[in-house]
Amino acid sequence: MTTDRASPPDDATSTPRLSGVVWRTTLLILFFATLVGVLVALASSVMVAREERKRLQQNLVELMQTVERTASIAAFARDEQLATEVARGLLRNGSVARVVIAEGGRELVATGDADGDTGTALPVLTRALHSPFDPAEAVGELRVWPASARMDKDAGAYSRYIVIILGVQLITVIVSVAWVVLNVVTRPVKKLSDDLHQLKLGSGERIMLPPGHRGDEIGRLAEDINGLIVHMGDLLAAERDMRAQREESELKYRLLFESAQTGIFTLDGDGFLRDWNPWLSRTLGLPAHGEATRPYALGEVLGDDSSRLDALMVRALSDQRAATADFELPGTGSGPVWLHLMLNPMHGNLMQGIVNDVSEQKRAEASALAMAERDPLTGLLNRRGMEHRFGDALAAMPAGGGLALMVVDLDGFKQVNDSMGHDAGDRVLEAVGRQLESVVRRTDLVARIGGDEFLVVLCALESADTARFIASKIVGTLARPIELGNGQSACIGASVGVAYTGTPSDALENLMRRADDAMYDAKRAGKSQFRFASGAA
Amino acid sequence: MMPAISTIIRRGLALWLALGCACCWATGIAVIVNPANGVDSMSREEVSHLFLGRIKHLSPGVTAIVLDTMPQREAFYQALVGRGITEIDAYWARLRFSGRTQPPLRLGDANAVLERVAHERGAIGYVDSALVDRRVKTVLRLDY
Repeated sequence: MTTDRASPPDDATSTPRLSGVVWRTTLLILFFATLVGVLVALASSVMVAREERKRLQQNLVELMQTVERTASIAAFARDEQLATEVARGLLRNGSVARVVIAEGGRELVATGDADGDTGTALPVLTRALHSPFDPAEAVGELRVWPASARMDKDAGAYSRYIVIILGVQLITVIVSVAWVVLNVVTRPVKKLSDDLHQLKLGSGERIMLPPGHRGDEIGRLAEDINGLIVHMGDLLAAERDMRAQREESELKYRLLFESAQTGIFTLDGDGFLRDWNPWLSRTLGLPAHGEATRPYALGEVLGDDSSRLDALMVRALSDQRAATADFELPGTGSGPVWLHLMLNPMHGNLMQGIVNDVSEQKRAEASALAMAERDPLTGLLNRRGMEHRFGDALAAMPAGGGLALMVVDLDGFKQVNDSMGHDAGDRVLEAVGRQLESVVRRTDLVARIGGDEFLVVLCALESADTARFIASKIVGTLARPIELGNGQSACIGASVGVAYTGTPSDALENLMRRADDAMYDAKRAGKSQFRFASGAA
Repeated sequence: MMPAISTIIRRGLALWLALGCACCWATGIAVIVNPANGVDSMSREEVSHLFLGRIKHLSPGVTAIVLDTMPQREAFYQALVGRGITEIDAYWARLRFSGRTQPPLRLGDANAVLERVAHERGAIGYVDSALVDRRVKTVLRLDY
């Protein structure tokens, strides 16, 4: 179809179709003219026959009037001879088939032959004959049989004559009308059609006004077509410009979409991805959008088990507002990947999504958080870090087991600090931190909560004995001198107060107070030892 | 002169006697036939048919010999059929052409007609009614 239209105009195929208009017009004219001609010929032959019959009868009546007197005389005188003369005279006229002159009851003469006449039966014309001397006295009758065959022949000849004249007239009319139609209408229209057919739109060509048609409908048609051509050309140019602009803009967006360092996608109401850009493919390990062989659900790709994405989608769609959430991708090689996802609702239950990799921010955030909970000197937890984690440790306490909180206060640290300087003091604190960490398990918590005061939380203990053992180990370890480098060492010790609890609901302050009390007990008892808080173990 | 007058009177008387109670004396034309043929009277139509050739027999078996009396001819036809003599001549001209029907025989005067009628059985003629005598029989009288 398209290729047919695109093919160049072909005269060989277009000419017969347009000549068809001429043919069809001519044939139609011929058809109607013939129809009218045949009808007129039929009607005229009927009328001619009737007229001819009337004319014949009139002729015969006149003829009979002419011979009436003589016939009357013949009848009056009963003269067969004269009657025969009259009858022969009448018969000499071709319209008369048979003549009878009767006198009284007797036929004076009967000539001619009506039996052989096969034409249309016509009534016998009868005329009463009166005495030449007394009009009141009937003396006989003149009867004349019209010659029907002759009349039919004459009528036929007339009809043929009329048909021939009609035929000639018909042919003349057809030829004239066809010629006029061809030259006045069809040719100019065909030329218009050919011109239009071969016109290349947008080339600035115009069709030519057919000569001699400037003021009429054909001229107007040509002018209107030219107007349309101009209008179409303008439209085409405008559309071309618009298309170019659109293509440019599309290319721009396509580039943006393809090369953005951001994930861009479209999501349908069921959570399936409709469209996504290469960045998202790379980040989520999806095939390129055009190469996907199955639908991908975003929730499944994100490894979102807890239906947070569903909730986000519901929020975005029901509020018709952008909704955002962060998702952590399941373990890839180098650290966790965090994605910040924003869903914008669009019409048709679709959502447009933007994804940014926020792993770096998350890491920075996490480290900032870690910094805030750490003691910068020793790298141990600070009081805040301890408070933050204590709840978890308490919650992780096994049934039947317990948790021990130790307050470790250094003995003799003030002297070291005073005599050897703050740097030495700091190094002591660092060393103590390391030693405390080496004594406890990785899962246990160690914090520095004051100048020389440390806190150790032993999580998930089976019994208080483990706490006792660890406490003694701490006391023993810290009693050893600490190397400070440059051949220097500091000798300190530690007093440890231990509070043990098996109740998960125990508050940190409560435990700390008890451990503090126990620690002071240890100090009072001579330092470098540990004490268990009363009411426990 | 006297014999003439006496003759007129005598003939008038004779006519009067012959017609019996004939009631008028006016002059007229008498159609006369031979007394031997047995016809007593004829209608005007019969007479005209005879004189115009339509009837050719006076009585069965007797062919009519029709006689015109030249001096009375015009008056006779005028009285009989109301036509002029030219018309009658035209009529006969057509019939004479066929040759079958012949016009009446023309005789010069009434005496010749009387003579002929008196002697021929089929003869029929007309004379001034005053001239009719016993030799012939009047079958119709025509008044002027």
